[in-house]
Order: sequence, then structure tokens, then C-alpha cells
Amino acid sequence: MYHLDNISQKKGNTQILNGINLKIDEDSIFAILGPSGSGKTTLLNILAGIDRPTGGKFLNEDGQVERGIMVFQDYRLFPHMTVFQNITFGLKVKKTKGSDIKQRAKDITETMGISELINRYPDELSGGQQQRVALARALILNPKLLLMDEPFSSLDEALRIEMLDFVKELQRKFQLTIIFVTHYKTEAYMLSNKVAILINGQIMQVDAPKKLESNPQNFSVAKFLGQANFIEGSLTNDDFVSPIYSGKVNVVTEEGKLYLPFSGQLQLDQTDYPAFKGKIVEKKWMGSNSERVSIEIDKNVIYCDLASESVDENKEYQFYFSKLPVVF
Amino acid sequence: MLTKRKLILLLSPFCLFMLFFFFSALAKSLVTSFGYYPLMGMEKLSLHYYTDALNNKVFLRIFFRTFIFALFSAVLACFFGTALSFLFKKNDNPFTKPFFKLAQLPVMLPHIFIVLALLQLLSQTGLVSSLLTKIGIIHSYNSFPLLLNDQWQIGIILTYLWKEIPFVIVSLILVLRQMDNRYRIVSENLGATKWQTFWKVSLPLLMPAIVNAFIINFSFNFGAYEVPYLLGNQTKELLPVYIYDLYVQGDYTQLPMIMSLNLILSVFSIAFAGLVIWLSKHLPGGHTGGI
Repeated sequence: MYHLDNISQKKGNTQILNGINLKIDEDSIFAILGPSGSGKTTLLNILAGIDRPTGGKFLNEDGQVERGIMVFQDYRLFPHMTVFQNITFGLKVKKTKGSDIKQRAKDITETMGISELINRYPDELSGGQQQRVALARALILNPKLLLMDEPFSSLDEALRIEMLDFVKELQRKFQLTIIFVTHYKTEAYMLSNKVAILINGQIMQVDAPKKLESNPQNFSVAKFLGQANFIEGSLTNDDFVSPIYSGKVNVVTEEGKLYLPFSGQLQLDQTDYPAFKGKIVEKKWMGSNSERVSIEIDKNVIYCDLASESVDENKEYQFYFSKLPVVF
Repeated sequence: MLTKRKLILLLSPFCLFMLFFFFSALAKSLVTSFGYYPLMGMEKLSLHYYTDALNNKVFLRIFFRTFIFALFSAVLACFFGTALSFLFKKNDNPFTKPFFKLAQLPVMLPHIFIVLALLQLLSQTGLVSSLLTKIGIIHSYNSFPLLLNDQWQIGIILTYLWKEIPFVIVSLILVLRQMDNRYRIVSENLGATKWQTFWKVSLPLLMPAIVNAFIINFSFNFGAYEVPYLLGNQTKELLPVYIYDLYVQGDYTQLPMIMSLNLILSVFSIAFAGLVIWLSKHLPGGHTGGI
């Protein structure tokens, strides 16, 4: 288990990271998800030994400081070296024996499916190929800890999904601990079962993707995860009043915003928590199983994901909450 | 988008200028160097001015001396310029920022400025010599070493270094700042020491800019006339001074020979630059992928 123990980073008068405490299981993929400017890359740089924190420590299971090998967002392949020279750079600077270097390069290029590219230069490679080379350059060193900064952000949709699967496969094969940062939640959810939300230099929540979506711990997390309606209203004890819904709520913080995520909270099947009556004004296709519907309630419009063909446009329906709604 | 016609129109002033002032002069020099100079009744084309020059031991000695001198000065400027660029590449440091501004100054000042300054400072009757005599370190002006118009061309080398080191710094610092720390961070994260990072990453990435600066410095040193004329030693003449001296003697029958020397100097300068570029492509850093 890796321990991030109260890590803080201050540059000038700006507090970039504020007391980060995390425990990360070995041999797993851990995602750090946060908006731009939240301190993700700074945190990763600390774990890679590139930056030194102004406070706190990063230790492995044995209480030792360990440095992860980083795969950068822009790959940063050395432009003046061939693929072979890039991949073997880390071994050469450690003065590894020539025959070992060749063998390990052969093995890793086969694993990564880039054997054909070893004599090419980085500017002769596609984005996907560059990423494989960057991964090979890190993995040839047999690191225990691999750090990835926004690893898939420069790839197109199809390649991104292919690489996500490939990284999962690599993690299993090399029994790696991978910590990666991203601002795409789908990327984080697809790659990892444990996601930490980093906002304004603070870890707001660490949970499984499903739990993050259904139970965001505070307004910042809910707002960052998006895909939800935030309805303004007034709050007296646990009674909420708004043009859309008035009734009992579960009060988490008292900002007075009713949190209605697009999926999972509203349904047509009757429950103990009646929500509102609304007219379907628009339906948008969201894949073969669901559609996003726009519901008009007293001239206000909210959005909700429902099973395909479960409602018709211009008809009115009674909606129910699946559980008592939350007010932040 | 520019049409072909517009492009031709836009480029035509430059093309006309080049055609009249550069290519016509070049063509005239070339024809003259082949012995065609009707003004003096010389109308037979021949290569013998070239073969004569290449068999002339005095010319070859001066040529070789000029080459070694130009090479030495350019290498020295690149060496010191590169070292200083690495030292002063940070642009957020309160000391390096004014240093960079200061380094830009000599690039803008003319050579004649430093020639006169050196004459004032380092000649045997100059400021330094007088100062050393006054405080008793040397007995008289004559004991001060000959630094200008000397056999080793120290004065010329100092003048060139004064202008060319800053030129190298200005050229390299911009590239270094563009590279910032991107590749240094990767290299160190992969386990390289600072020294390994310098040799294997930073220096090769900078190599194209160094080669560029070297070629410009070398070509200038090899073909420059005014500084060797003012600060050089008459017994150790350099090629441009040698050619100009022949030219101002006013013997027009010698003009084809002078033009052939001039063209040998120019062609060699271009060929040497080409060779350096070709060699640099085979050095680490020869392929930079546009960095």
C-alpha cells in the first residue's frame, strides 16, 4: 500500500495542494479525477519525484520514499532519438549490459506491438504509437509504480477505448500500481474502481464510480461530476420549497440547491417519494437503451435519463424519486 | 489564399533586386574569373586563373591560415556561447534577465566600435598599458605584450568573440527557453543524472541551433575584411585582406585572377557550410523532429 501522508504544495502565495491523505493499494489502478487547475499534475509530479512537496510525505509499504515513473500527457518522446533509443534510454543511463538492453527492448516492443517501429523517429509516429512508445520507455524499467498524466486526452474516441483496455491488460501483466490523473470522468470510471476527486488542491471524496455518482459528498463534487439538475429553492429544516419540487429532503449542506442527477434519481415507477408532474417536451437518443428527456414543470425545464421509449413527447407524467432527494 | 499571380507579383521586387544586384554581380565575377574581360582585350575563356591559384603556395598558405583562424574563432565563440547560455537560460532569475539584455547589446553594435575600443584599451600605448606602467607592474609601454596587429591575431579573435559569443547566446537561449524543462524532467525521471541529461538530451537538442550559429560565425570570420585589415598582422595576412590588397593595386589585367580568388573563397565558404550541415545530420540531435 502506498501512503500519501498530508502532502501540501505551496508556490509563492498560492496553496496548490492542501493536506492530501490517500492510501493506494498496490497492484491496482487508482484514478485522481479533478477539473483543470485542481492540482492533479502537481500531485503527480510529487509522486514522480519531479517536485518536492512543501509538506508531507509519499511512502511505500516499507516506509521508504518511492519514485514513480511518469508517462506524460504529451508523451515527451525525445525528438532526436529513434524509438529504440527512446525506449532504452532509462537502461542506458543505468549502464545496463548491452545484451540485456537488446533483450528487454525486444520483449517490451513485442508486448506493446511496436516492434516494427524501432528505427522510426517520434515525428514519424501517430498519436497512438507515440503513447505506446512512451509506455514502453517507462515499463522497460520494470517500475512498481507507474504514473500517468491525462494519458488519453490526445487520442480520438476509438483509440482511447482501445488504449484504456490495453493499459488494464498491462497492469495485470506487469502487476503494476498505476496512478493516473484525468479530468474526464468516463476515463477514470472505465479504468479504475477507486476514484479520488481532487478539487482546489483538496481530496473531496474517494469512492467507487457508482457511489460517486449516486452519493457525491458535497456540492463541489456534485457540480464537478455534472450530469445533474441543481434546483434553487428555500430550505426550512428539512423542508424544501421550489417551483419544481416542494417537500422533504435530505440536507447535506445548506446552499439550498436540490440535487437531481440525470440518471438514477427520477423514475416513473411509483415509490414513497412523489416528485412532480411534468410534460415531456423533447427526447434525445443516448444509445440503444436510454434517452435524455426534457421535462417541463411549471415553465421550468429539467433533464432526466429514462429507458428508451418509456415516455412520449407532449404527454404529462407523474415522476417519483428513487430515494429522498439531497439538498446541498 | 494567395493566387499564383499575386504571389509572383509580391515576390517580384525581391527577385528583381536579387537578379540585378546579386546574380548579375555573381555572373560578372564568374565570367571575369574565367578570363573574359573585354575592357582589357581579354576575350578567351580559360580555367587557368583557378589552376594557377590552386598551385600558388602563397595563396594556399594564406587560405589555410584564414581557414584555421575562422574555424578556431567560430568554435571558441560557440563553446563559450553555449556554456553561458546554459548558465543563464532561466528567465525568471533577477541576475540572468539583465544579463540576457546585456548580451544582446554587442550583437547590435558594429565591429568598428569594438575595434576602436580595443585600440584604445589594448594597444601598446593604450589605457591598460598606461595603467600598468603607472602602477609599476611593467616598466614601459614596450614591455606590454603585443595584443593588436600581432602574429597570433589575438586582436581579431577578441573582436570576433566580443560580437559572436553574444550572438550564440541570443540564438541558443531562445531555443533553450522554448525547450524549457520538458525533456530534462523526463530524462531525470527515467533515472539519468544531470550530467547524462546534459550530454544525451539537452546538448543534442540544441545542436541544430549551435551548428547554425557556428556556420554564420565561420562564414563571417572567413570572409570578413575590415577587422583583419585594422587589427591583423601584415606578415600573417588573411585571405580577404590579401584579395582586397591585390584589387586596390589597380592592375586591371589582374582582375580575372582576383575574381577567381574571390570565387574560390565564396564557393569554399558555402561548401564548408554544406559539409557542416551534412555532418551535423549524422550527429546526435541531427534529427530533431522540428524542435
